Amino acid sequence: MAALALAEYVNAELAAETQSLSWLHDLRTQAQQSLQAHGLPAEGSENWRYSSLRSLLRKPLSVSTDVIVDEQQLLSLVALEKNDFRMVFVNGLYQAQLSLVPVDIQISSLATELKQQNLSAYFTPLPEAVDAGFSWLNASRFEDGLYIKLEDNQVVEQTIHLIQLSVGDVLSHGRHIIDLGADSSLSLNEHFVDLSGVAAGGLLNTQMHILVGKNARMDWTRTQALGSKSMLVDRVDCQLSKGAQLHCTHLDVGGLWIRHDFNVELQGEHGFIQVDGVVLVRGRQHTDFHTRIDHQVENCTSRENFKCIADGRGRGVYNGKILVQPGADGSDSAQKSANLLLSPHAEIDTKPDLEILADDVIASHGATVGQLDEDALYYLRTRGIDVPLGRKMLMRAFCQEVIDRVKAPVAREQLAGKLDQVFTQMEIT
Amino acid sequence: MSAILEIKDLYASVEGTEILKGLNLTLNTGEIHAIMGPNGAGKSTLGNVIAGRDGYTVTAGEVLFKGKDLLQLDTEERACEGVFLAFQYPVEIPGVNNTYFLRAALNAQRAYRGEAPMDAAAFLRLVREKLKILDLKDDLLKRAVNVGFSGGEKKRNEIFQMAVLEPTLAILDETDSGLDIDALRAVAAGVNALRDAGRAMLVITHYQRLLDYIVPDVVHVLADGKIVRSGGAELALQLEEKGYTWLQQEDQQVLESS
Repeated sequence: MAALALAEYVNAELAAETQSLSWLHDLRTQAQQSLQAHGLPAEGSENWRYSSLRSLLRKPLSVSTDVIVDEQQLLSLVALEKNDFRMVFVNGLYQAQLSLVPVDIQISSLATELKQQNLSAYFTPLPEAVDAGFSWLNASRFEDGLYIKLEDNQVVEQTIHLIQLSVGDVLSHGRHIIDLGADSSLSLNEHFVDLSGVAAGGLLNTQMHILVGKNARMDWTRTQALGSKSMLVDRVDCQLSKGAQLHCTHLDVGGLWIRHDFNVELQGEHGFIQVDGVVLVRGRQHTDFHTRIDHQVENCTSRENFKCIADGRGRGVYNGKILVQPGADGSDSAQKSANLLLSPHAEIDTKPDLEILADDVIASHGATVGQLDEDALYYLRTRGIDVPLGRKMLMRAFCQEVIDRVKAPVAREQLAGKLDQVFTQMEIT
Repeated sequence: MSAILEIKDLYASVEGTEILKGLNLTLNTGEIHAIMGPNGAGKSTLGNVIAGRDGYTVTAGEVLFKGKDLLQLDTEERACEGVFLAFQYPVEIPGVNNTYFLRAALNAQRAYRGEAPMDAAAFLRLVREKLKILDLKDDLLKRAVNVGFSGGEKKRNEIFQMAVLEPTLAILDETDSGLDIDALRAVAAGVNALRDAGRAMLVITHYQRLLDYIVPDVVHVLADGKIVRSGGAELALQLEEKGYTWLQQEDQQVLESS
């Protein structure tokens, strides 16, 4: 199939269904109808006001075809040990030959799993909001993704890596399901990486559905280091049961145009969610982080700490929605958005968005926008460190607080190492 | 004996206000000079002008460092040439590890001199040895630069950095301020351990107390932007006893008798 502009996918016919799954056929049809009715998020949508799709809609994108990536190429992009468990997807399609999968848990590619069991519960209901266009686009066209199901009490000691690799001007629709049973535990390190080079770039339209069961725990890092022409629209929907814990740290250091929607429903008492992020936008990069944490029941805790550095003509957007439902007393939420604005042409839009409908609630939030500390830079210079290195050291230092909050030592080291690499390679004057 | 620092008829201003007004000073190798003077005399300005802080504008005069025009160099180049400023208020830098910072500084200076970078193991040996001199604990290395340090620790950290970087000229800007007597002794011991025939130091202080421990070769009195009196270590004692007004009165008498 020839490349279509993104806008044209809204009305493009669905590929003939290869699987005779009636629920999936219905889902795709319904998603496509919603997509055609409402299109992709329009300019007027409040949730998308800082992320105009105008330039994206014209971008020609082709559908995934088989691309061969060898292990050397993979290892040049992600620091992996030989025995690290990994699920590798190239342009949204599972690559068995690059993957290494533990045998004692249910983990497979979604395409395989769809043939084994009815997964419809993970896909319904479809989102109904008029600006859910990318969700419908994904639902109508997804082919593959990660599927993990942990039974009660299953504890996976070794970290599993989810690697999503983009090659060329391709539109892909990764669809991932993680379902953690009661008292289970999982560590996931996710990597968005790119082999497109500087001339081309795809659009990854990913959706992730995560269920964290009673007293289960998930530790999760997400490193987005896409190429300079690639785009990502990423939506995560998490549901946490009683006593469940989810710790998630993002590192957004690549890509041209990035949008994250990170939605959490705290459905059982004493649930805990921590979602943090380091965002770096330079050149003409655009990264928009929308989080939505829904305290549905009593005595849950949410923590957010986002740091954004905007330089050049970069733009960083953060919208932190906290919803405390009626009766969700004892909710404890803290949100922090700290930003460095390093150039007159860069832009930061940060907004805490609190809707508190219960009485007995702790909800703190703070947003700051500042520049690098000139006194600190002078101090470094008096020791012989030049301005570019000094600026990099201070930028790197600005991010450290988020890194320090990562509990797992290996994951923390990895994120720190990635940041060191980014700042070491950064060209700055 | 050769001159390390020569300041000739130096005028400097900060935000349009003239602070230094015709200052002359020469430091030779191996010497320690103390600069004393009342608040607002321009002591800290002198330190910042030599170090090259933005916003400190030299309007006239020259500063030669080992015969080179120091004012033509950027702050970091001055440091790499061997100028070190121990801050009156050391800056806290959250997120920057002390060891990493100091190694980056040392290697920047080595690169400037055309030397290979020092590897992590060799660097660690070096800093351990210097820590001993200043009686500082290892855990200081792991902490962020000056963050959560007590006043005494901050000042000792300055001298520790000086010990590692081994400058030719060290300017100690009120290194004694805010120190209790034990910390003062520790800092002074660190400074004395760095006294060297090839090094010169400029000790800026309000009080004579520090000079009991770091005995200077020359004491200068800075008032209203210039050196108004120079003498030996005994000048500091006289100042301590009689106060700065004594000098002004003396000057007045000299003026009247002429």
